[in-house]
Amino acid sequence: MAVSPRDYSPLALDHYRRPRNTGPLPGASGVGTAGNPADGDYLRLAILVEQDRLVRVEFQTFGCPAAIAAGSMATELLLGRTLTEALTLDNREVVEALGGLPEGKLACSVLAEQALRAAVEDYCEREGRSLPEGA
Amino acid sequence: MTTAIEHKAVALSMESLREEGFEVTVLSPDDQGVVSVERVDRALRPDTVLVSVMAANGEIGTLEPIPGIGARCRARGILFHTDATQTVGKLPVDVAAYACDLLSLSAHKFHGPKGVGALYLRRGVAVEPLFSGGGQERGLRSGTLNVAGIVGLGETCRLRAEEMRAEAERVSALRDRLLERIEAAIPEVVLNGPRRRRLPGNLNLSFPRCEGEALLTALDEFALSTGSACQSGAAEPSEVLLAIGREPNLARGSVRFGLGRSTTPEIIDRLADRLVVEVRRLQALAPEEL
Repeated sequence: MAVSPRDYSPLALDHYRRPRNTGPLPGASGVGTAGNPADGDYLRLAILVEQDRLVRVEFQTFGCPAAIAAGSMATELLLGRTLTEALTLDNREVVEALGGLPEGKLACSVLAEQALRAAVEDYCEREGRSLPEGA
Repeated sequence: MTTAIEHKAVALSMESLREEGFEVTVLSPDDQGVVSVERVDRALRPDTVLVSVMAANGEIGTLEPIPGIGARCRARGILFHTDATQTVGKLPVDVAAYACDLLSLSAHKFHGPKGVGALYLRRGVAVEPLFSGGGQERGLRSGTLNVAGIVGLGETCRLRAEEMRAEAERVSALRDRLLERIEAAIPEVVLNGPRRRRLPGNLNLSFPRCEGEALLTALDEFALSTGSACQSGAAEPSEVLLAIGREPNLARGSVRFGLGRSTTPEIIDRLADRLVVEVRRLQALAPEEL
C-alpha cells in the first residue's frame, strides 16, 4: 500500500517536496550509485572534495518519497564533513534527522549511505589513495 | 480457462480448482490487455469445461470482447463465466448479448452498498453451494439474507440504468480531455490499455523516469493509485502491467486515474496542470543514466 503524505514527518515531507542539493555535480571528485536502476529505487551521489573535506554534495534519485527525502537530508548532513566524518553517516542518522520515516520506509533511506561509500571509494581510487582510517 | 489479468477473486478460484486436480489454461493478453476471441478459440480443448474472462479490467480499463467469446463457448457447449464487476453500472451489460452462463457483479463498484453482490446464473445452470446451512437463496448461499444490502443493490441498479449512458459519455469525454492535456505537455507518456475501447472512468499512464509513489504523494488531493507501491526500497510491479509487456520501471511509473460522478472539467484541468509540473520535477531529479 502506498504511504500517505500524512504518515511522513513535516521535515521529511519538506525534503521530499523541495529536495536540497540536487544535480549531477559537474566536475565531481567522486561519484557513487546505489540500488537497482531496472526495478528498484536508485540513487546517485556526487561529492566535491577539497583538502579532505566535502565542499559540495549533490544527489539524484529515482525513488519513492522516503528515498528522495533521505537523499536530500544526507547531502545536508554530509556537507562540510571530512572524509572520515562522512563515512560515519548511516541511515539511522539520516532517519533521525528527518524526524523519522513511516513504517516500511526505513530501508528506502539506506541508498544514500551506500551511494556515499561508493562515492568516497571512487574518489580515493581516482586519487590513488587508500580509504580513510576507520572506514 | 482464464486470463492472466483477472482479479484475485477469479485468479485464486482457478488456483483452487488447479489444486483440486483441474488443468487451468491461463491466456496472456496482447499489449493492450485484450484477450481476443481467436486467442480463446485456439486455446479451447475438447475437454475444456469452463471459461472465465473478465468483462473489463479495472486497472488498465481494457474492455474484453465478451459477446464473441461467449458465442464461441456457447457453440461448443462450454460454460462461460464473466466477471463484470467493473462494467455493471458503467456500461450496458446484457447477459443475452454476452452469451454467458454465469456473471458476477458487486454493488460497491457502482455506488451501491458494500458487502453485497450478485451471481447471475442462466436458467438450467447448476452450481454447488460453497457452504451448507439453512438453504437460503435457493440453497445456493445459506445464511440470513442481507435485506438492506439486497434492496440497496437493486435500487443502485435502477438509478445507474437511468443515467448510465449519459454519464458514460460525460466521463469518457473527461478522460479523453485529461489524456489529451497530459500528452500535449508530456509527449513521452505511455498509455496503458486501449485508447478507445476502455472503461469510461479509467485512465492508466506510465511516466518514464518518474516514480509512481513519489508522483502520487505530490497529488494527494486527487484519487489516484499506482501500479506498484514501494515497500522497503523494493517495488512489486503490477502483474497486469507486466502481462501487457511493460518494463518494470515503466510499471513503477504508472498512475491510475479513477474518474466518476464527482469528476468535473475543473478538477481535470487542475489535475493535469499539477501533474505535469510534478512529473517534470521528478524526472529532473532522476539520474541521467535511467
